Amino acid sequence: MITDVVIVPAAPLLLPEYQGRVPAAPGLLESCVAAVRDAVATAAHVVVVHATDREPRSTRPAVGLRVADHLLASTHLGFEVEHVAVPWDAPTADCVDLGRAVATGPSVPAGRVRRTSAEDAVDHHARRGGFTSAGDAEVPASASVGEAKGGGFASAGDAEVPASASVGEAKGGGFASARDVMDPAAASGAEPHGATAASGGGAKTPPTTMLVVADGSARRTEKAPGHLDPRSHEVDDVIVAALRGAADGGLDGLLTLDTNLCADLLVAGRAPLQVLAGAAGAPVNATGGPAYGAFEVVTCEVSDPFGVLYVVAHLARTG
Amino acid sequence: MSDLTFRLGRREFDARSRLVMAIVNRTPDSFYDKGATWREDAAFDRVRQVVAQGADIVDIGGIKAAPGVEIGEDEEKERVVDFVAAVRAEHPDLLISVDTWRASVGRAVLEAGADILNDAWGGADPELVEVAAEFDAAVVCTHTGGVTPRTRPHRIEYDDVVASVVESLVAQADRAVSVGVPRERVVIDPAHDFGKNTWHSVEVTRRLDELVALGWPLLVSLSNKDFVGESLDLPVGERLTGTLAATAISAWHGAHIYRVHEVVETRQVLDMVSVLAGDLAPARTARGLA
Repeated sequence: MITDVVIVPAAPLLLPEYQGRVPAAPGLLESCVAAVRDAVATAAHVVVVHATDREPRSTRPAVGLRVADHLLASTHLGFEVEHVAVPWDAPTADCVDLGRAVATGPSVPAGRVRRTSAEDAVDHHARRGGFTSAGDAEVPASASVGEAKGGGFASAGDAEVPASASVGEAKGGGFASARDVMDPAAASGAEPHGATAASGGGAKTPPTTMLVVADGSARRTEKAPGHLDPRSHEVDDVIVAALRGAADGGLDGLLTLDTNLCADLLVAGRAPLQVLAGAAGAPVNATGGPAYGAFEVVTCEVSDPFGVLYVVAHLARTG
Repeated sequence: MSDLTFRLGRREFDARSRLVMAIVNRTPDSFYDKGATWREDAAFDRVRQVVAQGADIVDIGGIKAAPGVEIGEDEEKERVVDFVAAVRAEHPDLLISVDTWRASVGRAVLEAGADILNDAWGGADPELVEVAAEFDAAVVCTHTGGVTPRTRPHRIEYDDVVASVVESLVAQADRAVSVGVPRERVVIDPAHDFGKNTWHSVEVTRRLDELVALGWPLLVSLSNKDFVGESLDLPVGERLTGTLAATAISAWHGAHIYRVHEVVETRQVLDMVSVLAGDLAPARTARGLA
């Protein structure tokens, strides 16, 4: 069962390899780490939901995945981590289905999402790709693009991995050795903390924190990466209001985000946020109804230092 | 990357260091500032200013390099010794260098708290490095082509100016070590314009990597000098841009210490080259990363 949700921006400037001598956004990284640490403190299991890169030009894992792994590693806590990639332009219905699957099952339906778990942490293809393209008519065109790029990464094999891995290592624990860094308990043969509690209560899944790597429009100001689009504020307001209203079923508001408008406005987090909405609306157990209204807002900080809407939020299940 | 390590005062530096040494003249007649810091309060203000601007070292000199009125040993001491003591008192962690060729003056300033003896006339007084050794001070060895202190070069030719620089500097550095100066406290300086015409100084600059390869910390003193002025046909006062261009090239070649009049501009050039060379992270990066 998803007990906590934490939302952080997918900004590359949070990654150690892009840090200058002083932080570009003072306090942002600290806020993200604090929110993630709070949200995973009692988790046995973390599901990272991130979007594929909109303009992939490298063989590196998606920025969102790397940001998530860096933040998780920075908590110095132990848990199992699962990565779920959603194509940045996935249709809303697909996002909702994916969210439900993540929330209700210990395993996501084969062929839809592949997991990076303890058993296949070296399967970078799983980290890179979201939906598989083979035989799935529902898959958006961009998924094929992402898949093709992801396939290139995967088929390059281990030879490709050490280069990026060494970068991650040198910078102090990025994505490369994420599993080791994030799962010290498992590495030492111990159960992740919280695992025992997870086995009781009839829950189908152990206490799970969903880490959603998502941000709003990158067109909020004239200096913004995508220049100013006045429509951006209205759309971002929907996102912020939805998260701030999580206790009152507000997360459903995320489902009103328009796919094409969000694409125009460079809202990189639309698909992951809709996965969150799908997960939050899913039955909490085999017999239960929807979980609307079951999250309280622990923190929700909003900023846009570079004309990109950043939200750092922690939602905790109350019922 | 070289594994060079050098020490000045209590501080340790490596091959990627690019340090600013700010010139502080205790003279009424130096070519660039023309006595601007001759009054003691003006000199103290200059030290405070360059420290605030990010200078790592101050180089205090009591005698201008060019020919002029002879300044005796006692007068040189009067100009610099008490001043060094006062600067040391006000700036406990500042690296203090004194530009002198006289061993007696060197002894007095080291007793007053200086860290470095800048032997700008190429070992004219062989006892100077022995004094440095006695005080565990750093010493800057310079190439002058063997000219007498405070003389201008006239019709000097070298078969290969860089070879002459290398031979002279290695010999001086080896001697400094042999008399007891710690190896990591010996700095070399090809001394642009000293015993050199403009052709010589530009060749030394172009081939500075050969001096870096010698494995000693390398100081360059380029600031507003005649080789810059003749290269651009510009008088003193209009040579900053040319100085900074030479500074950037020297930094790219790997020189470690820059003796300058303009600290702010030099610091920016050195930091920019350090970033371009991959020796220093950019200060703050958000472009394309937000």
